[in-house]
Amino acid sequence: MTSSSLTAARTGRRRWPWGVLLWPSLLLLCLIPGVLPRLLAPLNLGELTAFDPPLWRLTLTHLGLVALATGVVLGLGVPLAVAVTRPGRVALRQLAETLVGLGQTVPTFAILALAVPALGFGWKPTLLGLIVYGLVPVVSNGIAGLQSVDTSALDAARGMGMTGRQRLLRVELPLALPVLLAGVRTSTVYNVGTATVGAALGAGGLGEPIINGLSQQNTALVLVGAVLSALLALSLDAVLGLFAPRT
Amino acid sequence: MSKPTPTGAGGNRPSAPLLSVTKNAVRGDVPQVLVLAALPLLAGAALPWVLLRPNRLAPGEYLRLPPALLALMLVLALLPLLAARFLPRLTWLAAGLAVVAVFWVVGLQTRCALVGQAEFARASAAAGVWLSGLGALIAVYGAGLLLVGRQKLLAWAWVPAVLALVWAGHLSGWSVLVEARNEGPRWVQELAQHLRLVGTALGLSTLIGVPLAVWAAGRERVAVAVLGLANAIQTLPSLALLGLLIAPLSALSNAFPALRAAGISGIGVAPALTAMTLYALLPILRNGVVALRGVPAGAVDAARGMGMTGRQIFWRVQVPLALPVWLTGIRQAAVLLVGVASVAALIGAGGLGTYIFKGLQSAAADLILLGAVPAALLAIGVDAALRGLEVWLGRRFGRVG
Amino acid sequence: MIELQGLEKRYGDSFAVRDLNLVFAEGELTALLGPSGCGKTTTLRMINRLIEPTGGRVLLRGQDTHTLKPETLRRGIGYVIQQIGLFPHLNVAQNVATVPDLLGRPARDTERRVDELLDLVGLSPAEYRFKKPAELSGGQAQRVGVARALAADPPVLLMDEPFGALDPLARDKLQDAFRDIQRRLKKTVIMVTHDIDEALRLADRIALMNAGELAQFGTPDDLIHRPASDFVRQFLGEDAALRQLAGRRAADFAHPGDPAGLPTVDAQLDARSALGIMLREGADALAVTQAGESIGILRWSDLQTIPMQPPISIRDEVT
Ligand SMILES: Nc1ncnc2c1ncn2[C@@H]1O[C@H](COP(=O)(O)OP(=O)(O)OP(=O)(O)O)[C@@H](O)[C@H]1O
Ligand SMILES: [Mg+2]
Repeated sequence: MTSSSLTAARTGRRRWPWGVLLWPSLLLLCLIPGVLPRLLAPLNLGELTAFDPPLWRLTLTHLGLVALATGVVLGLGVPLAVAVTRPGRVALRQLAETLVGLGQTVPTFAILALAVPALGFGWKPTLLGLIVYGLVPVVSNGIAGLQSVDTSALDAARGMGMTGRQRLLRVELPLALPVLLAGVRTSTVYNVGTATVGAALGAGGLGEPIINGLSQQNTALVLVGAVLSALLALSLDAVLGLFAPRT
Repeated sequence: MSKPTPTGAGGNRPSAPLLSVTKNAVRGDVPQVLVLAALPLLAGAALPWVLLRPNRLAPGEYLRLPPALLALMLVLALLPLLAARFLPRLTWLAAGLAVVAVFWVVGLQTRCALVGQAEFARASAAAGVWLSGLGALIAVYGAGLLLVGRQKLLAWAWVPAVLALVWAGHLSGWSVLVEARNEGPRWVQELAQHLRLVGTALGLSTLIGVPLAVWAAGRERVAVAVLGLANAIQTLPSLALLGLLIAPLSALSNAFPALRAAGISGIGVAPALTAMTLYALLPILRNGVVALRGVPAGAVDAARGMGMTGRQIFWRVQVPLALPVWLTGIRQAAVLLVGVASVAALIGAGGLGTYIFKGLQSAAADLILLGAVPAALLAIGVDAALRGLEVWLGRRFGRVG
Repeated sequence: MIELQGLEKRYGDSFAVRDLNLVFAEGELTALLGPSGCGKTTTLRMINRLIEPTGGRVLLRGQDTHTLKPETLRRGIGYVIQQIGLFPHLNVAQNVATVPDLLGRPARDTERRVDELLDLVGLSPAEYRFKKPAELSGGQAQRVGVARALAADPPVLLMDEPFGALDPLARDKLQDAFRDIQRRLKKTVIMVTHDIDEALRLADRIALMNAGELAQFGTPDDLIHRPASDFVRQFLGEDAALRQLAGRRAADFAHPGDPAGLPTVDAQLDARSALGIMLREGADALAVTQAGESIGILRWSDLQTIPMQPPISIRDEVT
């Protein structure tokens, strides 16, 4: 495409958004052994013994689960949204929208728990739950974005002799991209929260201190898990925000 | 792309219209859904249907369908498609039959499997059942798209049939129902507890949230702060939030033993309700503020120009215009609460989550199903009911929300 | 070049286009004229198969378009759609470059071509190249649409009301520019319009449609002086002849002759005004001058037939 040469000029260089680094650096700070217990000690909420596995391992497990789920969600959700928005597939689109609505309504915990009989304990049912739950915003935003593409632009593309594939890649997807990316962002950020529930299924991650804390009535432990997962969510939100086109 | 029929220059064109498009023509895209439904049905028929175990925890063996039933399921998998092609008005019947057949075959197969087994033996549904059930429900959905108006109810005809099967005891061999029978009245209690938790928290948060939203909407700064807070808390995990909201309570009860005596402590119903109320407050508050601020200034101005008092403007203009969005917030809160209530079992508040956690601890899938499926159905039911209420209220106010 | 044979489009029981037989000659500009909803857009879109006909066929250089792949067919035909339809995510240059890109032309050539075309439609490349469609006015967007259709240098152009969103002054300028481009490059153009002045001004031939059927096909002269029906006469209006003159320059009608003693008019003046001067001055001939020099004379009788091409070549000032 000539586009490369045509876009090169004018856009100028974007200033590096330093603000994005705030949440990730806070997260890293909290992960240094001893920092969080010391910060929480004055609140006098409960004993914090040494963590086993260490907090950074829990965070990495958590992040890994969410990232894997987001990858699968992208691989499944985008083609799905594309497939059901082709002309002559209104019924399939309605089905997809209904399923997405159901996914939004059914409690997360129920989805995760229902995956256990099928996949056993551990990270597998959690991943399945995250995928199912993560698909909801990606598919619904994907459909909404593709549906909102200006029909006259599509008509012009057809009139110029673009094939269906070219129309999709050159017109529809670029135009749907902002909405789609917003969906991916929502999906990822919510899944950080959903993944904490996975600890109840033995998936590990940052839900572990929360669940342990709740069952041992150790609020400090709950706070550790909550603070770290909130920081992880905010960090991912900030990083993904970089991809959002500016308006 | 349809090919034009080349008629040549000045060729005869038919003076009468060709076959005119019939009013109730089959929607051409519905068969796609039915094909999508047939795939899991076909695959499901070939997979194992029953897992037979000597007791509820032991490993077991997988049993497939006997040839006759396999053939039946294969035929039923294709029946909706054939119906849509040749007898579109009866597609709902074919799809409904597929759903009923899945339940019937599960009942039949679990009972057959248990013949000659010890009392503790359990026969549970395996992958084939779940896949086939999914396919059959998609087929029903597709069939529903072919129906219009009142006829849509026909797509639900399978529900009474399945209930009749359960009622007649045909499914009594299925492990989930065996567990349900064993639990019996206790399960009903937990369901009631779940509903109580959701109802109370929703009631409390509405009582607090509605006036609060009205108050906040009128104040620019407060409104912005409320919206920001609500959006930030949305990114927090519900589990973490539950934990965090409990923290102050448990600190209080630790500090004042008298409160603990009054039932306020870190575990039990009181902290769960507090946490749930606060959690549900967010969507109600946020949608309320958004809705009230979304009322067009022109409408309020016009009302003022007509000489309405502040109270009249509020009741006659702002409330009717804000209601749809606001009700959506309350519905979202209710659906969220059904989910949060199932996690609340973790802190001893009871509810359907009790079975999920029990099942997870003892690795008993049937117990998990006993908690998770009703919780899911409850959420869907609450969502549908409140949607219905929204439409009804919308109509009463002269427009459909 | 393009031939429509018994072309027909039916929606349910009603015809959008019915039994249309037309030949669009090579290098000519044909206007598809008619009231709103008469089937102009439908006809145009059947030519590049954006709409599949329900009957009849379209021949392009003798070949049935139905035997071609629609995409291949469309890439060889420029198309300006009624709703403009610029791609909102691409800038002006990228929009114009779309079809050359699709055809795999070298990027360097395309870039040069884009600048040329922007110049041609009166948008300064330096200023407009990197603007996004949302930053353009309706008229500017329409000009980009025209440039985009011309980008791959297609021999055939289909244009659906390409000048609809322009103010009268800009429209006149762009119309003149476009007519010159068309004459110079010998493009076969089919232009949909419901603006009679535009059709009379630009078209070599006019196909006047009514309710999906062809009412008359011929040169503007034919339609004005030999209307085939009352509909044609009414649609063009009683002052059609005058409006036609308004679209031509006095020079187009000038013949060699002796200018002595005649009132003078400038060569660029429109013929209708020249007629007005004859009436005012009570003369039946005028001297046509360009830059002070006489280039011929214009007689009353010359105005009664419109020449297809100017008999006297004059220096072109409008581009
Ligand atoms: N998809 C369609 N389905 C049914 N009828 C249609 C369809 N498209 C066009 N028509 C009808 O065909 C007729 C011709 O439409 P067309 O768009 O060709 O009109 P037009 O001459 O371009 O009008 P305008 O000057 O307003 O653009 C109209 O009566 C229109 O209602
Ligand atoms: Mg039109």
